[in-house]
Amino acid sequence: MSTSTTDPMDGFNATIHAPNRLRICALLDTAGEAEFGVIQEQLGVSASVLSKHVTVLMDAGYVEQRKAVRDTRQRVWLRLTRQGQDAYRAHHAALRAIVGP
Amino acid sequence: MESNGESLRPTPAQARAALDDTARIRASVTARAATPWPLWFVATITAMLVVLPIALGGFLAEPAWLMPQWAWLLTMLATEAVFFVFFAVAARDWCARTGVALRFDVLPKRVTVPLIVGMPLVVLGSAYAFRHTGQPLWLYGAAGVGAAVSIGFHLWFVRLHRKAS
Repeated sequence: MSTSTTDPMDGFNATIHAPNRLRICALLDTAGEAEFGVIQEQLGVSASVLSKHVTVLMDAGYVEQRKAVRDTRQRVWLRLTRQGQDAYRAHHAALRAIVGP
Repeated sequence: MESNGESLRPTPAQARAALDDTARIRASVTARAATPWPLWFVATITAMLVVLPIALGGFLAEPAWLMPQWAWLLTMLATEAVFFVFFAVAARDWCARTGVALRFDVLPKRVTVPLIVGMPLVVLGSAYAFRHTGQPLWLYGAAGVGAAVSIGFHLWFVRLHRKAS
Protein backbone atom coordinates (compact mmCIF):
# COMPACT_ATOMS: atom_id res chain seq x y z
CA MET A 1 0.00 0.00 0.00
CA SER A 2 1.41 3.31 -0.98
CA THR A 3 0.80 6.62 0.68
CA SER A 4 1.07 9.81 -1.27
CA THR A 5 1.61 13.10 0.47
CA THR A 6 1.71 16.38 -1.35
CA ASP A 7 3.90 19.18 -0.14
CA PRO A 8 2.00 22.51 -0.12
CA MET A 9 5.22 24.14 -1.25
CA ASP A 10 4.84 22.33 -4.57
CA GLY A 11 2.09 24.84 -5.34
CA PHE A 12 4.42 27.83 -5.12
CA ASN A 13 4.07 29.62 -8.43
CA ALA A 14 6.64 32.19 -9.51
CA THR A 15 4.38 33.61 -12.23
CA ILE A 16 1.56 34.31 -9.80
CA HIS A 17 3.77 35.45 -6.93
CA ALA A 18 4.68 38.82 -8.46
CA PRO A 19 2.69 41.25 -6.23
CA ASN A 20 0.33 42.74 -8.81
CA ARG A 21 -0.33 39.37 -10.41
CA LEU A 22 -1.08 37.89 -7.00
CA ARG A 23 -3.54 40.75 -6.40
CA ILE A 24 -5.16 40.21 -9.81
CA CYS A 25 -5.59 36.49 -9.08
CA ALA A 26 -6.96 37.16 -5.57
CA LEU A 27 -9.43 39.66 -7.00
CA LEU A 28 -10.61 37.37 -9.79
CA ASP A 29 -10.81 34.36 -7.48
CA THR A 30 -13.09 36.37 -5.17
CA ALA A 31 -15.15 38.20 -7.79
CA GLY A 32 -15.52 35.38 -10.31
CA GLU A 33 -15.27 37.91 -13.12
CA ALA A 34 -14.29 41.56 -13.04
CA GLU A 35 -14.12 44.46 -15.43
CA PHE A 36 -10.65 45.71 -16.42
CA GLY A 37 -11.35 49.20 -15.03
CA VAL A 38 -12.38 47.82 -11.65
CA ILE A 39 -9.19 45.77 -11.37
CA GLN A 40 -7.17 48.83 -12.32
CA GLU A 41 -8.94 50.87 -9.64
CA GLN A 42 -8.47 48.19 -6.99
CA LEU A 43 -4.77 47.77 -7.74
CA GLY A 44 -4.08 51.47 -8.25
CA VAL A 45 -2.01 50.88 -11.37
CA SER A 46 -2.07 52.32 -14.87
CA ALA A 47 -3.88 50.56 -17.69
CA SER A 48 -0.60 49.71 -19.41
CA VAL A 49 0.90 48.15 -16.25
CA LEU A 50 -2.24 46.12 -15.66
CA SER A 51 -2.32 45.10 -19.29
CA LYS A 52 1.24 43.75 -19.08
CA HIS A 53 0.45 41.62 -16.05
CA VAL A 54 -2.77 40.37 -17.57
CA THR A 55 -0.88 39.39 -20.71
CA VAL A 56 1.58 37.34 -18.63
CA LEU A 57 -1.31 35.60 -16.87
CA MET A 58 -3.13 34.99 -20.14
CA ASP A 59 0.01 33.60 -21.78
CA ALA A 60 0.31 31.21 -18.83
CA GLY A 61 -3.29 30.12 -19.41
CA TYR A 62 -4.41 31.45 -16.01
CA VAL A 63 -6.71 34.26 -17.14
CA GLU A 64 -9.18 34.63 -19.98
CA GLN A 65 -10.97 37.69 -21.23
CA ARG A 66 -14.41 38.52 -22.59
CA LYS A 67 -15.31 41.68 -24.43
CA ALA A 68 -18.68 43.32 -23.92
CA VAL A 69 -20.09 46.56 -25.28
CA ARG A 70 -21.70 48.90 -22.78
CA ASP A 71 -22.92 52.41 -23.63
CA THR A 72 -21.21 52.16 -27.04
CA ARG A 73 -17.84 51.48 -25.35
CA GLN A 74 -16.10 48.15 -25.35
CA ARG A 75 -15.33 46.78 -21.87
CA VAL A 76 -12.98 43.92 -21.13
CA TRP A 77 -13.99 41.44 -18.45
CA LEU A 78 -11.42 39.08 -16.99
CA ARG A 79 -11.77 35.80 -15.17
CA LEU A 80 -9.51 33.01 -13.94
CA THR A 81 -9.46 29.85 -16.00
CA ARG A 82 -9.85 26.56 -14.14
CA GLN A 83 -6.08 26.13 -14.44
CA GLY A 84 -5.58 29.65 -13.09
CA GLN A 85 -7.92 29.04 -10.18
CA ASP A 86 -6.10 25.82 -9.26
CA ALA A 87 -2.69 27.50 -9.59
CA TYR A 88 -3.74 30.50 -7.49
CA ARG A 89 -5.22 28.36 -4.73
CA ALA A 90 -2.16 26.11 -4.68
CA HIS A 91 0.06 29.18 -4.47
CA HIS A 92 -2.06 30.59 -1.67
CA ALA A 93 -1.69 27.30 0.20
CA ALA A 94 2.07 27.42 -0.33
CA LEU A 95 2.22 30.92 1.15
CA ARG A 96 0.23 29.74 4.15
CA ALA A 97 2.63 26.82 4.53
CA ILE A 98 5.59 29.21 4.50
CA VAL A 99 3.98 31.36 7.18
CA GLY A 100 3.35 28.25 9.22
CA PRO A 101 0.78 27.53 11.91
CA MET B 1 9.66 47.35 -12.36
CA GLU B 2 8.05 44.36 -10.87
CA SER B 3 9.95 41.15 -11.42
CA ASN B 4 8.46 38.29 -13.33
CA GLY B 5 8.57 36.26 -10.18
CA GLU B 6 11.73 34.30 -10.88
CA SER B 7 12.84 35.07 -7.36
CA LEU B 8 13.57 32.81 -4.46
CA ARG B 9 10.77 31.65 -2.25
CA PRO B 10 9.67 34.34 0.14
CA THR B 11 10.52 34.46 3.81
CA PRO B 12 7.69 33.86 6.29
CA ALA B 13 7.39 37.65 6.78
CA GLN B 14 7.15 38.23 3.04
CA ALA B 15 4.63 35.41 2.67
CA ARG B 16 2.58 36.91 5.52
CA ALA B 17 2.65 40.32 3.81
CA ALA B 18 1.52 38.75 0.52
CA LEU B 19 -1.34 36.93 2.26
CA ASP B 20 -2.39 40.13 4.03
CA ASP B 21 -2.37 41.87 0.67
CA THR B 22 -4.67 39.25 -0.86
CA ALA B 23 -6.94 39.46 2.20
CA ARG B 24 -7.30 43.24 1.69
CA ILE B 25 -8.18 42.74 -1.98
CA ARG B 26 -10.70 40.04 -1.09
CA ALA B 27 -12.38 42.25 1.51
CA SER B 28 -12.62 45.13 -0.92
CA VAL B 29 -14.09 42.95 -3.69
CA THR B 30 -16.52 41.33 -1.26
CA ALA B 31 -17.77 44.80 -0.28
CA ARG B 32 -18.31 45.59 -3.94
CA ALA B 33 -20.11 42.26 -4.47
CA ALA B 34 -22.43 43.17 -1.58
CA THR B 35 -23.62 46.32 -3.38
CA PRO B 36 -27.39 46.42 -2.76
CA TRP B 37 -29.72 45.95 -5.68
CA PRO B 38 -31.73 49.00 -6.83
CA LEU B 39 -34.89 49.78 -4.88
CA TRP B 40 -37.11 49.22 -7.91
CA PHE B 41 -35.90 45.63 -8.06
CA VAL B 42 -36.35 45.13 -4.31
CA ALA B 43 -39.94 46.35 -4.81
CA THR B 44 -40.34 43.89 -7.72
CA ILE B 45 -39.08 40.87 -5.81
CA THR B 46 -41.15 41.86 -2.76
CA ALA B 47 -44.28 42.15 -4.92
CA MET B 48 -43.53 38.77 -6.48
CA LEU B 49 -43.16 37.14 -3.06
CA VAL B 50 -46.45 38.73 -1.94
CA VAL B 51 -48.43 37.75 -5.06
CA LEU B 52 -47.05 34.21 -5.44
CA PRO B 53 -48.59 32.53 -2.35
CA ILE B 54 -51.93 34.28 -2.89
CA ALA B 55 -52.06 33.30 -6.58
CA LEU B 56 -51.01 29.72 -5.82
CA GLY B 57 -53.64 29.55 -3.08
CA GLY B 58 -56.26 30.83 -5.54
CA PHE B 59 -55.16 28.31 -8.14
CA LEU B 60 -55.42 25.39 -5.70
CA ALA B 61 -58.62 26.61 -4.03
CA GLU B 62 -61.55 24.21 -4.11
CA PRO B 63 -64.12 25.66 -4.82
CA ALA B 64 -62.81 28.66 -6.78
CA TRP B 65 -61.86 31.69 -4.66
CA LEU B 66 -62.48 35.26 -5.91
CA MET B 67 -61.46 34.37 -9.50
CA PRO B 68 -61.54 31.23 -11.66
CA GLN B 69 -58.52 28.97 -11.20
CA TRP B 70 -57.23 29.64 -14.71
CA ALA B 71 -57.15 33.38 -13.87
CA TRP B 72 -55.03 32.66 -10.78
CA LEU B 73 -52.73 30.49 -12.89
CA LEU B 74 -52.35 33.28 -15.43
CA THR B 75 -51.65 35.76 -12.61
CA MET B 76 -48.97 33.45 -11.20
CA LEU B 77 -47.30 32.85 -14.57
CA ALA B 78 -47.44 36.55 -15.50
CA THR B 79 -45.93 37.52 -12.14
CA GLU B 80 -43.10 35.04 -12.61
CA ALA B 81 -42.48 36.15 -16.19
CA VAL B 82 -42.34 39.82 -15.20
CA PHE B 83 -40.05 38.96 -12.31
CA PHE B 84 -37.56 37.09 -14.51
CA VAL B 85 -37.49 39.88 -17.09
CA PHE B 86 -36.87 42.47 -14.36
CA PHE B 87 -34.27 40.20 -12.78
CA ALA B 88 -32.37 39.93 -16.07
CA VAL B 89 -32.40 43.73 -16.51
CA ALA B 90 -31.43 44.40 -12.88
CA ALA B 91 -28.63 41.79 -12.93
CA ARG B 92 -27.15 43.24 -16.13
CA ASP B 93 -27.26 46.79 -14.77
CA TRP B 94 -25.86 45.70 -11.41
CA CYS B 95 -22.88 43.97 -13.08
CA ALA B 96 -22.23 46.99 -15.29
CA ARG B 97 -22.41 49.34 -12.29
CA THR B 98 -20.23 47.29 -9.94
CA GLY B 99 -17.84 45.81 -12.53
CA VAL B 100 -17.91 42.39 -10.91
CA ALA B 101 -19.88 39.22 -11.56
CA LEU B 102 -23.11 38.52 -9.74
CA ARG B 103 -22.56 36.23 -6.75
CA PHE B 104 -25.09 34.33 -4.71
CA ASP B 105 -22.73 33.46 -1.88
CA VAL B 106 -22.25 36.89 -0.31
CA LEU B 107 -24.61 36.15 2.59
CA PRO B 108 -23.78 33.23 4.91
CA LYS B 109 -25.08 29.83 3.79
CA ARG B 110 -26.50 29.13 7.25
CA VAL B 111 -29.08 31.81 6.43
CA THR B 112 -29.56 31.48 2.68
CA VAL B 113 -29.87 27.68 2.47
CA PRO B 114 -32.71 27.37 5.06
CA LEU B 115 -34.52 30.22 3.30
CA ILE B 116 -34.09 28.71 -0.16
CA VAL B 117 -35.50 25.44 1.18
CA GLY B 118 -38.00 27.03 3.56
CA MET B 119 -39.65 29.66 1.35
CA PRO B 120 -41.10 27.19 -1.20
CA LEU B 121 -42.37 25.10 1.73
CA VAL B 122 -44.05 28.17 3.25
CA VAL B 123 -45.64 29.14 -0.10
CA LEU B 124 -46.79 25.61 -0.92
CA GLY B 125 -47.80 24.83 2.65
CA SER B 126 -49.92 27.98 2.97
CA ALA B 127 -51.68 27.22 -0.33
CA TYR B 128 -52.61 23.71 0.82
CA ALA B 129 -53.57 24.97 4.28
CA PHE B 130 -55.90 27.48 2.60
CA ARG B 131 -57.32 24.76 0.35
CA HIS B 132 -58.19 22.61 3.36
CA THR B 133 -59.34 25.30 5.80
CA GLY B 134 -60.67 28.00 3.47
CA GLN B 135 -58.89 30.59 5.64
CA PRO B 136 -57.08 33.17 3.45
CA LEU B 137 -55.04 34.22 6.49
CA TRP B 138 -52.64 31.39 5.62
CA LEU B 139 -51.95 33.06 2.27
CA TYR B 140 -51.62 36.54 3.75
CA GLY B 141 -49.25 35.15 6.36
CA ALA B 142 -47.05 33.54 3.69
CA ALA B 143 -47.14 36.79 1.70
CA GLY B 144 -46.06 38.67 4.81
CA VAL B 145 -43.18 36.25 5.40
CA GLY B 146 -42.07 36.67 1.77
CA ALA B 147 -42.15 40.46 2.01
CA ALA B 148 -40.25 40.40 5.30
CA VAL B 149 -37.57 38.11 3.84
CA SER B 150 -37.14 40.31 0.77
CA ILE B 151 -36.88 43.56 2.73
CA GLY B 152 -34.73 41.91 5.38
CA PHE B 153 -32.24 40.68 2.78
CA HIS B 154 -32.07 44.10 1.19
CA LEU B 155 -31.37 45.78 4.54
CA TRP B 156 -28.75 43.14 5.29
CA PHE B 157 -26.99 43.87 2.00
CA VAL B 158 -27.09 47.59 2.75
CA ARG B 159 -25.56 46.98 6.18
CA LEU B 160 -22.95 44.54 4.84
CA HIS B 161 -21.96 46.92 2.07
CA ARG B 162 -21.60 49.89 4.45
CA LYS B 163 -19.69 47.83 6.98
CA ALA B 164 -17.30 46.36 4.41
CA SER B 165 -16.78 49.72 2.68
